[in-house]
Amino acid sequence: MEILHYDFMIRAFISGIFIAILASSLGMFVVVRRYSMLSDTLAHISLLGVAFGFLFSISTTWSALFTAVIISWFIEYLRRNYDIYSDSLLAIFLTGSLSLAIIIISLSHSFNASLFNYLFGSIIAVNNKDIYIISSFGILSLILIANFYQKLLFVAFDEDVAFTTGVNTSSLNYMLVSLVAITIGLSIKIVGALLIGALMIIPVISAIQYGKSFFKTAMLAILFSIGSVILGLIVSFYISIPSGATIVIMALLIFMFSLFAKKSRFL
Amino acid sequence: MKKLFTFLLLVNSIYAKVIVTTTIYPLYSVVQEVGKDKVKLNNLIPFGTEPHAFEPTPQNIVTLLGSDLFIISSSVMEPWANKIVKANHLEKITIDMSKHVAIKKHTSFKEGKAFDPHYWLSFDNYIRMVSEVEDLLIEKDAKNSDIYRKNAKNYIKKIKAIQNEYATLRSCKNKKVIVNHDAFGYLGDDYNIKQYHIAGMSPDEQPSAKQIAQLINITKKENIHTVFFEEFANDKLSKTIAKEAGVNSEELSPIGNISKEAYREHVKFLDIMRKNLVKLKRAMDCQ
Repeated sequence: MEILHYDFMIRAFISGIFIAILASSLGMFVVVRRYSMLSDTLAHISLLGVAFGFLFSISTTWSALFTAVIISWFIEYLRRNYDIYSDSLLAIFLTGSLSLAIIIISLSHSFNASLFNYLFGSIIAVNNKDIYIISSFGILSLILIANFYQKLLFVAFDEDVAFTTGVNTSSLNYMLVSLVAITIGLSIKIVGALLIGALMIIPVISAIQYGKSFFKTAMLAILFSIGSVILGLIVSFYISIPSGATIVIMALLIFMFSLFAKKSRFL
Repeated sequence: MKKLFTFLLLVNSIYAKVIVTTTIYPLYSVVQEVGKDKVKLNNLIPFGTEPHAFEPTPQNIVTLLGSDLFIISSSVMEPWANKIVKANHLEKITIDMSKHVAIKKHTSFKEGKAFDPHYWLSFDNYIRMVSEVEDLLIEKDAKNSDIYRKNAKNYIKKIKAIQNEYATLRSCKNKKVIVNHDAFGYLGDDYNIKQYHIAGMSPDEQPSAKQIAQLINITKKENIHTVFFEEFANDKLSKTIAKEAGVNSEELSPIGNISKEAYREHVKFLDIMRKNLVKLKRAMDCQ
């Protein structure tokens, strides 16, 4: 296996598999909440965070992370207290934060060629420090998800009933959006917004096609996203195409296969 | 099999070429002219793409891991390079060319980190790049040092010839040009040309509506009769301004990259510089 002779590919596999597990398990709750656009919106909000970082000359990693978390709380607050559809709300924040980012960048006279590069990482450029960050946060959030699994599930499927039976839906919701926001804020600089957004949604939708229980679906989603990462890295290595985009295409192929499998009911 | 492999390795070490990987075309061009057939040259950013937006593939990194030298133009131009160099411990073979030329600070940059990355458009800098590559190749491959010295000397002679032709720009009537993006600052400084630019330092940095209106007014007021656009960026705004002001639009290359066709037809850096000169002379009402 020539591919495993290279340390950078091994780092890509390790970080990719961590991201796959983290993204698809968070993605389960995001998708059933009709929050599929959340990851993309938060990626653009992180871009706004990078712009703030340029403006105030502070670390863009932290400014992106804080902006993503704080605005995710604000989105959750609006969703709970105002009668706005979540998808419209996300669309407003996506376009709004991108526009604000562009204005701030042009006002701060920073060199914006590097803006997108600043933000969007590449899975083949991860270093050991990136892996430590992703894996330690990944383990922490998986522990949180496992701990609150039943309650999160309850809230995801029926928030009102969960609330009346005494579940603290508010804090659970804030916890979920915060975990998603931190995952995205951390991952975009490491593996890129495209990859994290796709891995949060596509494997989950593919897994849902098989009509299993929530837990089994989650396991399938994790399996599919790990599969997309491994296949995508191998294919991108041997035919020399960008890795992040190839992984997304692999996830899409698994999705199409799942749709077909559902229709022909051979699984 | 093993014997064959050892034999190949032996043959390889006798005829070994220096393996050099460069990012943008001006670097490629310099190494090609100085190294000629003694160097195996890899081009990282594909010909025919806009160099500001590039994402490396796994094979690109494999190429880098097998290179003796990796030359980048600057961290401003190739912000992705730094991360890859660090993650793969390529610091020893990586050369940042911007450290070896005269860099122009840019007025619109507040912080000291950023600078105008288009330094190859000043001939003095381009000659510095040739000398630097000459030193690097001699360091890596001392037995061919005479060849590298000769190639560099010949190439510098050619560069100086064109530099002399460019000197005629100083006597042009119209000293103002409108270009697509802020890439011609070095050239402007060398020949006392005032450069108005539509987009910012990167072709993606879009101007405001007010700036476009100002550019249209400048075009009319200053009797500018050509608005320049470039090959790998959107030419919509240049053409809009040209149309509004009722003047011509023409291509002027910042030579950040060349097209695939140009590469196949062996168009060289100096050929493009000469083409640019013809267009500049026409636009600036030169004798």
